[in-house]
Amino acid sequence: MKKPLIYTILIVFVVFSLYPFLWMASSTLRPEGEIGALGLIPSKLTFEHYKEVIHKIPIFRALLNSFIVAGSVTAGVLVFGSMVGYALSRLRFRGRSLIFIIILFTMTLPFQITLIPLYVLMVKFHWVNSYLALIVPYMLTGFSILLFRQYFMALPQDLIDAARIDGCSELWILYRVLWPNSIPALITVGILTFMTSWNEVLWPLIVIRDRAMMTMPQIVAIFHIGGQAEARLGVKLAAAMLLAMPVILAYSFFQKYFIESMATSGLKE
Amino acid sequence: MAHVVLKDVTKIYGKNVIAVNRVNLEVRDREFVVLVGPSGCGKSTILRMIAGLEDITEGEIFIDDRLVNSIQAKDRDIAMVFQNYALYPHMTVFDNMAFGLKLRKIAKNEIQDRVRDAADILGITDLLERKPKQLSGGQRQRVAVGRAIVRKPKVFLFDEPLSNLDAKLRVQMRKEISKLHQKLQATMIYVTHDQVEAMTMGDRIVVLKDGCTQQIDVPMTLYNKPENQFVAGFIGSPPMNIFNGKIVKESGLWFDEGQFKLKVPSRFEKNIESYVNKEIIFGIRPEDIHQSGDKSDNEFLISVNVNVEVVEPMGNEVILYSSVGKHSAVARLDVQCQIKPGEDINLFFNIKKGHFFNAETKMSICLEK
Repeated sequence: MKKPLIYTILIVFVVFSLYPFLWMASSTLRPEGEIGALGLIPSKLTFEHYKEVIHKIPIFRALLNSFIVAGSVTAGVLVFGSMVGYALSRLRFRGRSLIFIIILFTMTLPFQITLIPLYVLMVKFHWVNSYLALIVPYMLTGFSILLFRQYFMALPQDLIDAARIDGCSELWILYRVLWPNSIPALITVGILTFMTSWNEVLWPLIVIRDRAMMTMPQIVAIFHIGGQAEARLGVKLAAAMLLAMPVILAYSFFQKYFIESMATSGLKE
Repeated sequence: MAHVVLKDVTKIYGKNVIAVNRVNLEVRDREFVVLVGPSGCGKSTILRMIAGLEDITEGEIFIDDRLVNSIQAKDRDIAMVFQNYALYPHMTVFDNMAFGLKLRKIAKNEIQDRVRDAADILGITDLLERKPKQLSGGQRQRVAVGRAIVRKPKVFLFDEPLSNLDAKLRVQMRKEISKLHQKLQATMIYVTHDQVEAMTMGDRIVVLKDGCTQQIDVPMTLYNKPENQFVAGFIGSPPMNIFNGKIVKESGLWFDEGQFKLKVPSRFEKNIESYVNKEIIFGIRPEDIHQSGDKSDNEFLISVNVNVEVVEPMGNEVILYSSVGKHSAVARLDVQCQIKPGEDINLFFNIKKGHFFNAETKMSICLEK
């Protein structure tokens, strides 16, 4: 195919996917009355919508909460997911395949099915309205176990044997020998886990009531549908913009790894 | 240093895949023992069981009189060099060599000294700050050997360490490992599928097939007095020629291949007599087949007509591949010979140097004690 044609097609797609976002970004800076227009350049800039959002909801506290939750969840998934993945890929024990099959099975269950039992558990543990409820249930995922298991299976067994003879314990083998050689897997699992956790709305809505404990997507969702926005589009869009901002910033920092990890999906080399 | 004893060591995978079958072996202090055999013979499994990387299904392994069956690899005081080097890709050469020492909490300055000494011995002092991927295959293998040396283990284990190197480097490293053995005076167990490595490096060689030991002996005895047909065929390159035939009695004993007959010398008749009219296997090494008949012991040289198939000039000698009857025969001839492929020629078999094997048990019927 000729280059101009390829470029034309690509540009059309970029415009299609980018326009709604740009429209949202520009709308947050317009006076409420102008928001219906299709154009992207506001006739008059205003930061009123943002001021109102910040005034009405504890958005920065929610930002901090989101960072704490997504950060802890990601750390937990990397540590525990790789441990289980290592055990399933390299240690020999009775029932190994069965355990792996059960883990795969949990991945097929939609979250809605485990939602209620999990909530009951949180109530029994007295974890409702705390970080624990947001973090602990997410600290180990079937997906991360699967990905680490596959990745570790592709590493040479001799590397593990050499470490064992050198005097490493199993945990030391994992963290000092396998981790440094599994950066792509760690990044893939890290990014996907962080994003999933960051965007989670349903679970926080169920276990968190206290506004000070709410995560960003939760507080923005409540702001949108809970009547506080008074059906005005400007403040709603401004809140949505604030929600999207950290992810966009993070993406621009990590985009190289992100594309790499998506392309290789944890495959070696 | 240490000696290693294997008593009836058996390894069974799953329910009934026998990888190693009742192997008995005693490796003496400071000895260089080579385990050799075709792939799948269990040689690496034996080494991994000694290392503690593989459970022992049955039997016992002792290192310096200490039963090590249930002792972890790291506490057996052994070091191992792997075929694909198994260097830690994320560490420098120095850290690769120091890693085991750090884990054993050895003082920093002693680690420095030991790594420097080992690097000196192996000539890799300039490479200490590099990462493994910046090294050539030969350099990597040196680092892998260095990682073993710094530990000062009781026993060194080598698992086909030269298989990934090119032919020239392999010969060089072979020599260096032999030198290292002399210098360190350490007990070494070395696994290879290459019989040349086994012959040139080993104080003693263990020949294995299908998980069973075939023969354990010094190299020249294995070569000159193989106990069975497998050892005879495995040791030596090109391998020994093997002919199936039977013994017939007509004014003395003859080995009858069908196409040709060889007179069994009268003084060997006692051993062979019970095989009259029975199937037997005759083996002869390529260097015991000659082009001309006038050698000093020509009473044993028997002329056989062969059809030449391939002639390989090696520079110092000529390897001649030919067919005779339903068998093929390889001969190692003088470089001066002018033989062309397709010719029918007479070659002279020195039957005195021949070997007879029982056709059923494949065991040697020793001609000369």
